Amino acid sequence: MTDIALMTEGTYPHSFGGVSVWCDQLVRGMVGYDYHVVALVGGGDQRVAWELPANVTSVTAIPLWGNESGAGSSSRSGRVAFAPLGHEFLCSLLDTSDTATIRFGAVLRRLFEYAQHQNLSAALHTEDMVRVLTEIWRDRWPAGGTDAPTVHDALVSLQLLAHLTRPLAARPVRAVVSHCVANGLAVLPALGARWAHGTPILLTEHGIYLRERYLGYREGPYRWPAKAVLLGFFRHLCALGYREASQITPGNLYNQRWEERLGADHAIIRTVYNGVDPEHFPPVEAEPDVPTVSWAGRVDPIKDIETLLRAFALVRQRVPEARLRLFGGTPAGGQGYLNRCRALAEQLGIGDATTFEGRVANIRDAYVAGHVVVLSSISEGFPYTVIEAMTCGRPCVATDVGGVAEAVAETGIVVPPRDPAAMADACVRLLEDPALRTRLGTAARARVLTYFTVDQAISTFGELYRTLAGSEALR
Amino acid sequence: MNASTTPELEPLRPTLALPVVELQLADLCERFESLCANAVDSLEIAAGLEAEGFSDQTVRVCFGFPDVFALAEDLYRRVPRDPAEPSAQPDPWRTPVRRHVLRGALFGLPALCYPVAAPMLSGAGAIPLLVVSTVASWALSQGLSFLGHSRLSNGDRDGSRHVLRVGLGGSVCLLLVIVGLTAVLVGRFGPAAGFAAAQGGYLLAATVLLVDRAEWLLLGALAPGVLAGTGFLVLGRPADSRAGALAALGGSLLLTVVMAVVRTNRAAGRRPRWTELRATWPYLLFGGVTAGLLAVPLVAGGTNNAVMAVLPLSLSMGAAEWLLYRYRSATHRLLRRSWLVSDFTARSWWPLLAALAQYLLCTVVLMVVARALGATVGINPQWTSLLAYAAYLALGGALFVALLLQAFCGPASVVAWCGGALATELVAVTIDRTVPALRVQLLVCGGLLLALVIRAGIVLGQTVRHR
Repeated sequence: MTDIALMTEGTYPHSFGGVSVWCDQLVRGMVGYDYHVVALVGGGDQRVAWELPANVTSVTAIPLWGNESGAGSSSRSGRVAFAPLGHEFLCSLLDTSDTATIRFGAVLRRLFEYAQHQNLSAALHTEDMVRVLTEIWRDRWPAGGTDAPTVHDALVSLQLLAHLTRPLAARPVRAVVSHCVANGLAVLPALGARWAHGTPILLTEHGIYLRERYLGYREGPYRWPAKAVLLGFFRHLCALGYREASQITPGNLYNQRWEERLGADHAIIRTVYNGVDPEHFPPVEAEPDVPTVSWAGRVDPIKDIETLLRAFALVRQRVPEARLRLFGGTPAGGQGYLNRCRALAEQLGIGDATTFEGRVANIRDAYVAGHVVVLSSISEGFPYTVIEAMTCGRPCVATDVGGVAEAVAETGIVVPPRDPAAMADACVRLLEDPALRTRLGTAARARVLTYFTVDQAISTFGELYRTLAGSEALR
Repeated sequence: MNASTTPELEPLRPTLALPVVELQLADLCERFESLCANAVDSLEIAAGLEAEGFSDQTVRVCFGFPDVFALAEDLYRRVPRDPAEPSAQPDPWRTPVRRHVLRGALFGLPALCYPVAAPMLSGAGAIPLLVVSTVASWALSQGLSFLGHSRLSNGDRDGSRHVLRVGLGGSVCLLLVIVGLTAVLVGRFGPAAGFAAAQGGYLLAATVLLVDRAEWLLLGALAPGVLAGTGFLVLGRPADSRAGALAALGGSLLLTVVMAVVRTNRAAGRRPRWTELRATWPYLLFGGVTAGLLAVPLVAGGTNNAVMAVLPLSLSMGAAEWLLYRYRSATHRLLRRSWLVSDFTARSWWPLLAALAQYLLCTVVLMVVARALGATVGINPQWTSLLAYAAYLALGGALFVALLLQAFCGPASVVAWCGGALATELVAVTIDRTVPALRVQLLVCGGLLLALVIRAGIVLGQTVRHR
């Protein structure tokens, strides 16, 4: 049997973005394996956005929101029987002791078994559970006060937990390896397959899932008690993912710090860098007429476009004819951020010189468009933008997050995140020095061809699949 | 994840107790005070520090900590938790009053068209035709409205329009069959059957426009008929103007149907699924039962005077919808102010009783206004007897609470109660035909109101009902 279950969340094959590109490369490269994609998606009406190769034999979408289909039955006796389990689940989320992950793992497994026969979402969203949570909280806030959690906080927490645990109700996939392409919720169906069929888990991480949840919830609408419950869930789930995985393959060395911090065994971590197909990114032959800084990516707060705009305003003071071109789509719900960025550009007086060009058919055009390619993100794994631009022979100015420094090394300029002055200095230096651009661009392409080609990544995963499948056969 | 799991911290700390580092740390605490005070654990601080450009290397060089995590733990200990309230979320249940005034008008205004058609509706067989058409079209319109709204609530506007168009076609056909069969049964064809079919068709097309939020379009379509009907009443029902007024009514019907079809045309969406259709039946029942409750006194009373009694009640449904939003808003605030489930349960009666009181008050005002206006155009004041007021007020109150319960728990929970009330009324007026139907309605609907209020008080006292 050569079936691989590929677990994704909010990426392949329903959306575009770096992780989806990586998945597409993987399944196309692994011609000897059949893939069953288990994709966690937002709503139930999402369409497959990628053309699927023949070896993707099935796609199971598990919607976290929208109408729930195929959930287990919801009987009164089932909900009553759930009460002690629900209580233990909520207590485990707030447990910060050393044994919390083990406790959480045990309760999650029982939730999985429950969800296979009963409607877990309905059981979590009952008056009893609201009572349980408010009473757990009352013990922690005995004096009440304005900071104390409210019934509304309990309802919001339980409603979200009911959605987040939906993947536990999915029928476990039979495969030789469950390959999760992110930690967090994508691990839930893999844990199910591990508990039901003993399938080993291969956990690939591009960015650190938990770190991104922490950053996302800082601006969220939840009050502190609800935020603590939800982040408790994500923290325990990620720690469990690291402990239950047979092999962890971060996309860069930097991520290992978080993985080991959360209990991953150093011995099972192996960094596998993202790879580029050099044929798709031949070296650029010319530069634009006007000094141009280009950027490519999703229009999303984690990309910190504001810092880029502030940096570019400083660049314009020294290179008055410079232009900034931003390439990339705005995800659903991201329109507000795009509008804020546009307003900021106007406010900085660079509105005329800055263009938001939207999604481009061929991403290489985005790299061709600039003398310098910039990445301003506050969190990244091993960004394609950077290694693709490098393959084209364009020098990069990139923020020192995730694996960026490992990718760029000496072939570009790495600056601290959220530091417009440093970013502007680096851009100006490159814009004013053609020889430096040529030297770094050539070195960048050479570096990619040596370390970051897709063939290298594919052969590594082929080897890991064989090892994991072999260890499974020996069990 | 806490200090005890990082023993390397302990030997390091004493060597770090240099005044310079302490000062720098104090600066950091100040700079990241909001991050630290709001953090749920030290990892959140580590994530925040990394996003601000801190790396293990900078932390080692500048502060002497082994990595960002260790610095984050130190900051977590130094800065006490003091979570800020998240920025106020907009109230999802805020709604403009004028929209509901308009919707109330759209519910009520068609009543002004009936006097024009009165001569067609006299004689044997006409009342059964009207009642059957009303009950059938109310039922179908509730089902149609549910189908459209359930897709809208998932953000699927095209799907909603698609299902509305398909549903409109299907339900109009069904209505025509039902009215046709009734006409055969009562042996009455011609204008009465035509009018019965027309009023049902109008209601269904209007439902499509109301679900699609095209209230102003519907008002425009309704205008010719309503203006003609009002003019007809104001001028003292001149016989020679009847034909013209009827033509205006026909015009309104045509406009409404055409607009409903145009509005939903070419919406690409999923075909109605079997599970969707199956979910509509309680709504169909609820609509039919409601229409039945309204019709009993009209039929059993044997007069068409009471037709006008329904007018203020129809208008009041606009107020009912608005009060439903206000109720949701009030309970939402209550959830945010309650620390324990029992606090909420105990206090949840107040918004419920307040909403009911406001609804009843609103309806009384509408009744008084309608009576005053009716008197000026010479409508027989018989229907305005205190008994009729009370009976329809009780019915209105019961329907309002039923609407509330339906909004939170689905229609199945209220259909049985309303159906029981309708059955009781029907039995009472059938057994003893001398009993005044209005008195029966007052007693039965009063009982229904009481039962529904108690049920709503209990059910809506549960926090999980409020999402």
